[in-house]
Amino acid sequence: MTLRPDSAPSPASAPDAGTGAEGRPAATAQAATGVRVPDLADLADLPALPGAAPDAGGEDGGQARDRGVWRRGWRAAAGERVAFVVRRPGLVVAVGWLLAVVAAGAAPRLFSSRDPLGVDPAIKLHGPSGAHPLGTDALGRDLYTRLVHGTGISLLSALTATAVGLLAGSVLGLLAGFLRGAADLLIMRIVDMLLSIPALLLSLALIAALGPGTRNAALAVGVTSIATCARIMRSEVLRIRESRYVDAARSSGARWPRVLLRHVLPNALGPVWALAALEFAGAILAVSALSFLGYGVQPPTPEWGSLVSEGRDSLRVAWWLTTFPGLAVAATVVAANRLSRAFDGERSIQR
Amino acid sequence: MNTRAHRSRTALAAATVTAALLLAACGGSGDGASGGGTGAKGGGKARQGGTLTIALQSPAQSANPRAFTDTAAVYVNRQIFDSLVDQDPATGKILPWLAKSWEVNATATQFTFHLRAGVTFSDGTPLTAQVVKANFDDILANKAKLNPGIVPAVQALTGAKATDAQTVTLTFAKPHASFLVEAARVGLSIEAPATLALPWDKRVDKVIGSGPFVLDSFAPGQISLHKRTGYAWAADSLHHTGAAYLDKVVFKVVPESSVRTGSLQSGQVNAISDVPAADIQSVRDGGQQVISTPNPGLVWGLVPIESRNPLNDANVRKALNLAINRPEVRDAVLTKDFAVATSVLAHTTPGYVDLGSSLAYDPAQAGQLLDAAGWTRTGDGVRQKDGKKLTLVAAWFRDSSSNQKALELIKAQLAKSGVDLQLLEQTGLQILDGLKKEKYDFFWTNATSADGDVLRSSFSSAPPNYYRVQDQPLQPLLEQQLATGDPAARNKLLAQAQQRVVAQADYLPVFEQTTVLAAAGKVHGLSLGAGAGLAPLAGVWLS
Repeated sequence: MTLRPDSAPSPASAPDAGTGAEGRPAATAQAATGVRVPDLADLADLPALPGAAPDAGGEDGGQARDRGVWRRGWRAAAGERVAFVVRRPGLVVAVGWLLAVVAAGAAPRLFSSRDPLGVDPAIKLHGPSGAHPLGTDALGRDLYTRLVHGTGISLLSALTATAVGLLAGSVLGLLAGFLRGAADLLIMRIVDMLLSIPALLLSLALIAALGPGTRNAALAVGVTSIATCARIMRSEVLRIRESRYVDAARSSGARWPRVLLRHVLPNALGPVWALAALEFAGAILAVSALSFLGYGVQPPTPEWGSLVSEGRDSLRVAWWLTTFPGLAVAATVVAANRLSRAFDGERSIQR
Repeated sequence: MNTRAHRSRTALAAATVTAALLLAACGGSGDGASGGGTGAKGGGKARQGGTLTIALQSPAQSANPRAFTDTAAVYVNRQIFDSLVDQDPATGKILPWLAKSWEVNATATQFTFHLRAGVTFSDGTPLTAQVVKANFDDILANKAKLNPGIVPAVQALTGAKATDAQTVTLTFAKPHASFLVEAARVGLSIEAPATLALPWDKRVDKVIGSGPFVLDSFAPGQISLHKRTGYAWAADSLHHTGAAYLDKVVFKVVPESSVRTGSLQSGQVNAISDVPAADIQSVRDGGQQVISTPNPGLVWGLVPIESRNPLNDANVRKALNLAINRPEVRDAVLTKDFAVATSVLAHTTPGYVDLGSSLAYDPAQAGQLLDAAGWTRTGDGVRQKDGKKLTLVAAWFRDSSSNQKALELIKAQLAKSGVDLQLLEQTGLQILDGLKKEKYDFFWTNATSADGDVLRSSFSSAPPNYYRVQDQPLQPLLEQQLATGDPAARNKLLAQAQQRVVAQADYLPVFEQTTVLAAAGKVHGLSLGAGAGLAPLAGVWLS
C-alpha cells in the first residue's frame, strides 16, 4: 500500500492530497498494480460503500462494464438482460423448477387436492394415467400427491442443513481468518478433522447419536458442510484483510469488529453464496439419502427419500414408484448446481 | 419379533437382538415334505450329484446351533446337525429321529429317550447316551451364552442321566410339556464330543454333527457344505433314506430382496429365502417355484401395553380390534400365501383354535364401544375425551418388508374410526428399552414357535411382563398348560387361553407370518420344516 498511514484526509482536501507534492497520483498507483484502489474520496465515506469496494482480483473490467450497462439506460439494460436470459435456457429451466419446488413445499394443496395419506387398496400399483399422473403406490395412494406433499419436508430439511453449515462454517472461518495464530490453528485442525470423515458416514454417526427425525437429519447433514464453508470463508477473509481498503478503514480509525462486519464479511460472502447453492444441492441429496435409509420422517408421512425407499420393494412391478421421486431429487440437485454456477460462474465469464 | 428375547434380562448385543427378532425360522426341526414342498416325487427319478446354491437375506453368524437362531443360522445348521426327535410339519406330531422312542412321565418333568443304534458323527465317533448327556451338561454349563430364544426350553432343566449306552433321561424341576417340540428344534440338536470339547467361542466354524451335510468352509458371506457319505438316519417325515443326492450346498448372502429375486430369475442361484410379498407373483409368473409355509406361533399383530391409558380399558382395546379390517390388509399388502389371523396363534400351531368370528371387521360396533367409553368425535376428526385426543403410538421394527405397508394401512383403517395411530420405527435395542419404560401404546410383533407355549411367554403376567398384562383368569390357564402332559387336555387349556386373549383384546392379531422360499424349476424336493425353517436337504436333487 502506498497510502500514508497517518493520512486521514478530509473529503475536501483528499483530491489534493492524492496529487500532492509526493508526485505520485493515485491513478498511477492503480495502473501500476493493476488493482483498482478506491479514490481517497471514496475512502472517506467508506461506511457507505461496502458493496462498491471491489475484490482485489483484477475485476475493474467487470465493474466498468456493469456501470456501463447502467449508463446506457434502462432500455438497453433490459435488452441486455433478456439476451442474458435467452442465452441461458438451462438457467431459466433450473430457476423455474426451483421456484415450482419452493411453491409446492409452501403450498402443496395448490398443486394437488388429494389426501397424501388416503389409501385405496382397490387401485394399488396402478401405472401413470390421467387420473393418477405418476401412478399409485402399494396402498393405492396417489404418488403425485405424495411427491408434492413430501416436497416441504425435504426442502425444509435441506434448507435447515444448508443454513446450519453456512452459519456455523462462516463464523468459524471468519474467526479463524481474522484471529489467525493459535485460534486459526485450532479451528482449522477441527475443520480438517471434520473433512477427514466421509460426509454421509458422519451424518449417519450423528443421527445414530441424536436419533431419527427430520430435524436431526437436517442437523446431521448440516454439520458435514461446516468444514467446507469454514475453509472458503477463511480463505476469503485472509485475502480481504490484506486489502488496501481494509488497511484504509483501519487507518481511518475504524475498530476491528467494525472492520470485520462492515468491510470483511460482506466482501467475503460472495463465494460463500455460490457455495451455499452448491451445498443446498448436496443437502437435498444427503437428506434424501438419510430418509431413504429410514432416518427421516415416520411413515406414512411422505418425503422424497422415503418415497424412493418405499418403492424399492416393488421395483420389479412398479417402476414409477422409485423413478419419479428419484427424478425429483435429481432435477432439484441439478437445478441447484446450475444456480450455483450462475452465482459463481457467470461472474467468472465476465472476468 | 420374538418375545422370548424380550423377556431375557441379558443385555443383548444388537446382533443378537436382530437374530432373536428373526426367530421366524427358529425351530425348524424341520424336515418332511410339507404341503409347500417342491414336487419331490412327481419329477421322475432322483439324480445324484450337483451343487445347490441358496441366496439368503442375512449372513449366518455362527455354525454353533445354540448361539444364533435367526433364519440363516437355522437354515445352515439344520443341514449339519440332527435332533433327538423330529416334528411333522403337516401334523405337528413328534416323530422319531436320533431317538427311536421316548417316554414322558405324567407330570411332564421327566423325558426318557431311547437312541437309534448305528448313528455316527461325521468324524466317526458313535452317538451314545453319554454324548447326549454331555450335550445337555454343556448346555447347562453355558446357559448364560445360549441364544435367548433357547433359554426358556432349558430354564427348568436340572440335568441329564445316561441309564445305559442307548438310554438317556432328562429331568426338569417344573413341568415342561413343550420340551419335545423344543428338542426337535435346531437349537437343541446333538453335537459331536469333539465340538463340545472346544471352548464356546471357537465353535463358530469347526462344528461336527451327524447330519446329512458336513461343514466345508464358514465365512459370513458364503458357507459351503459337502455331502456326508454313509448317512442313513434321515428323519421319517423327510420321506428319504440314505445319503443326500447333492454333492455340495452353498449358502450365499444377497441382502437386497429385489436383487435376490433377480439372482434366481437369472439363474445365478438355485433358490432364495425371504421372497418379498411384492415379488411372489412375478416369481410364479417367471416359471420358478414358490415354496411357502405358514409359520406356527404368535401371528403378526399389535400388542397393547395395558398399563397405558386408555388401553387399560378393555372396551377400548376391543373397539380397536373391531376397527381393523384384516382381509383388506392381507389383500393389499400380502398375497394369498398369507393367511388372515383367525386366532392369536397361527393355524399351524399345535393347540390352535379358530376364533375367526370374534375377529371380524365391525367399525359400527367399534364406534359404539368408543362412544360408550367416552371417546367421542365430531365429523371425521380424531376422537376426544376430556380434551385429550385418541392418539396412540405403535412401535415397530423393520424386519420384514410387509411391516410398514401393513401398519400404514391399519393406521388408515383406525383413522376411519377416529383413532390416530402414530407409527414409530425403532431399532431392536430401542424397542427393548421402550418396552421396559412403557413408552409405547402398541408394539407390532410376531413370534414363531412350534408350540402353543408361546402364549405363556407372550401374555404371562409373571415378570418381566413387558406388555403389562393384568388378566387374572388368563394366568392360571397359561401355567396349567405347561404342566399338562396329555396333549388333548393341554390343547383344551390352550384353546381357553386363546379365547380369553381374544375376548379381552390382549392382542390385536392381523395376519399369519408365512415363510416364502423360491427355487428354480430344476430343484426337486426342497421343503420347509415344522418350525418353518429349511428342512434337511438330504432329499433334494437337481434335474
